[in-house]
Amino acid sequence: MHILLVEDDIDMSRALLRALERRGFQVTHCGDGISALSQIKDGVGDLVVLDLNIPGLDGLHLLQRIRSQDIGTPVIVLTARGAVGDRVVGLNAGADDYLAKPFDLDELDARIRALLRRRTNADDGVQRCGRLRFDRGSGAFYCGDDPLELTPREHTLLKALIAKPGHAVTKEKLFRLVFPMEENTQLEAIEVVVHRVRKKLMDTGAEIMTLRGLGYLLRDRQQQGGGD
Amino acid sequence: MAHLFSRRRSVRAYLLAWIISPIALFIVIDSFSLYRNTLESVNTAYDRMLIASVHSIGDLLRIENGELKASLPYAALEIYEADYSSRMIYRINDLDGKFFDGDADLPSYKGKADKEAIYPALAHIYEDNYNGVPVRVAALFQPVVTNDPRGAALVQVAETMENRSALARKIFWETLIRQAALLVVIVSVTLYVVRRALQPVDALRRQLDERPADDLSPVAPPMAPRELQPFISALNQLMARLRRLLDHQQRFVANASHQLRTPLAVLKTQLQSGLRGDAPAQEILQEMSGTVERATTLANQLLSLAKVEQIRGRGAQEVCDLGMLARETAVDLSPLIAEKDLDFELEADRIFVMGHPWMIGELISNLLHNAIRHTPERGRLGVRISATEDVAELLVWDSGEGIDDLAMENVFKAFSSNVSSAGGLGLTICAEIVDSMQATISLRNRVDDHGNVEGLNALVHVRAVMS
Repeated sequence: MHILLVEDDIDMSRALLRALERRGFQVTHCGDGISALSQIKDGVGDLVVLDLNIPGLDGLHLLQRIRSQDIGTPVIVLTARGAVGDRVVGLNAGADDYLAKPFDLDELDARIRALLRRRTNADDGVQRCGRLRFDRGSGAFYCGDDPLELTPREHTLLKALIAKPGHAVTKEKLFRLVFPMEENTQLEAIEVVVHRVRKKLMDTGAEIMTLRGLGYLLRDRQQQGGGD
Repeated sequence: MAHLFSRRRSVRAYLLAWIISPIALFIVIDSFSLYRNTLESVNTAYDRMLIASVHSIGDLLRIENGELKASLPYAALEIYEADYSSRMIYRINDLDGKFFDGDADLPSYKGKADKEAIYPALAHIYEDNYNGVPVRVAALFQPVVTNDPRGAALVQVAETMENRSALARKIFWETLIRQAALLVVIVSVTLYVVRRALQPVDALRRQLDERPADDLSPVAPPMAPRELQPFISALNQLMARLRRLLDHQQRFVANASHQLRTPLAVLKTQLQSGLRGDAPAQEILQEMSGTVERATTLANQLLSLAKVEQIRGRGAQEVCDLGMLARETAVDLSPLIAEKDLDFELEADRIFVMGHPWMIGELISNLLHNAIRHTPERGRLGVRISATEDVAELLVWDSGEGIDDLAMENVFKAFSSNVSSAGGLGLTICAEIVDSMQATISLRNRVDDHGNVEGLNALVHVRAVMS
């Protein structure tokens, strides 16, 4: 995979070049907006890692230029500005993803791979948590290789939770997903579904954690520092 | 009128334009009508003389032996010549309408004698040409004693108009000069008054112009009129606010640079130590990673604090759902809660307060972050939002080690504690946000029956509003 790195800070470029090459990418470096534009037009790189503060042509303008010319190369924007406002501006200008400096190299690696997967349609379509596996293609849950028997409501609930493992989903949101158009059902009904799903997850290494008054989150029991 | 203001015209020009132009317009109209009236009076007076002369000539006509006779003392006409600038001409037609006497160059009157009229002997006044010179003519059908009772001779007396136009010109110029003088007086008085009235404004501007850029002391222009006082006091209040802000920022920048230098110094030491081989590279790198993490947190907090200041400066507040913001913040921080396997509880009613949603989210986030950091693994913590009458209460509680009284004093002040080890600027950001909402914040240790510290309560009280 070929990455075009647009970054003017020499130290940052050197570190990123080394790290990305070590991770198996072919990297072309470019230090200013104008040459970056011509290289992107020439089709250099399957993906662009773009710093917003570059000389020549500002990162945001570069982004707008390539998008207005219908060039669909995925772009990950890097910026020192971390405010939400910049994020929105960047994404509106046509960025596919956004990382605020300073960032984790692993995070950058993961996002680059996710974008490339999305582009090449090589997404394996599987989400994992512990030994629990969700195959988006077939819509089925597995524990190891064994399919997990779930009722439609349990399935909906688990699907919502595994979409963002380790991140809470509010009770209200789960309720709306699991009991759509049911006005007479009490919010507490969701607890019954959670209880049943918990039992079925017993041997999967994944567990549902309760945040009282807020919602639930799915996590890998093995990754808990003090977990049992 | 609105467009005059919108174009930022000067007050001076505005006053001058709106005082002088209506007056000038009035003067022009007035001059014209005055001139017209005077001219009319002049014409009336001169016409009376013409009529008198035409009648006196008519009176001298008689019929002798069936023939028209006139014995005119020509000198009589001179009586009517007011001066030598204009000439009098006369012409008499006999009963048959043929030229009889006088000056044949004066065109005969085209009108007919109104023989049916009860009183035909009325003089007509009109204007005509005499040898190419405009003249004003009085024409009279003078009845003479004859067998035909309705026979009348036409008598015309004409006068050249030099006299009248000279007089008219004289009147015109006099009027014009007088009105122009009046206009000059009004303009100069207005200019003077406007300039005098605006002098304090000019003085204030000069005073502000002459200031050095960093002088934010109150302005005190001498002899400022009452109308200018609110402006001056508003200006001085602004100056005071700017001065406070500038002081605050200067202190802040100094402190921030100092604090940011600390992790850099630590990094350098760790790095040099690593290069010399004091410890295994992996160990040193791990330490450096921790230092960088802390520096990043600090830099983010500095940015956050700057953003709080910026939003405060804008002063826009809206109705915010405290419960909903607490819920969103808890969802954002849920990975940290899960990581430490904490027993979390949220009790959040829908309670509304005035504020900025980002700031309130930041407030809850900072307090919850602190609570998560200080609670031991698998410990308990929570957020409770409640309200009593019109006061909303945000409580973030943990089961950590609490806080000692000494630290309590300075915990909200920026850079008071060792930033690189403690929560850094988190509580300073909270204090700043709370201050912007006119709310209060306090930290209290929660103590069990035996006097042991169970944990810390962070309490924020703010006025609730109706949804």
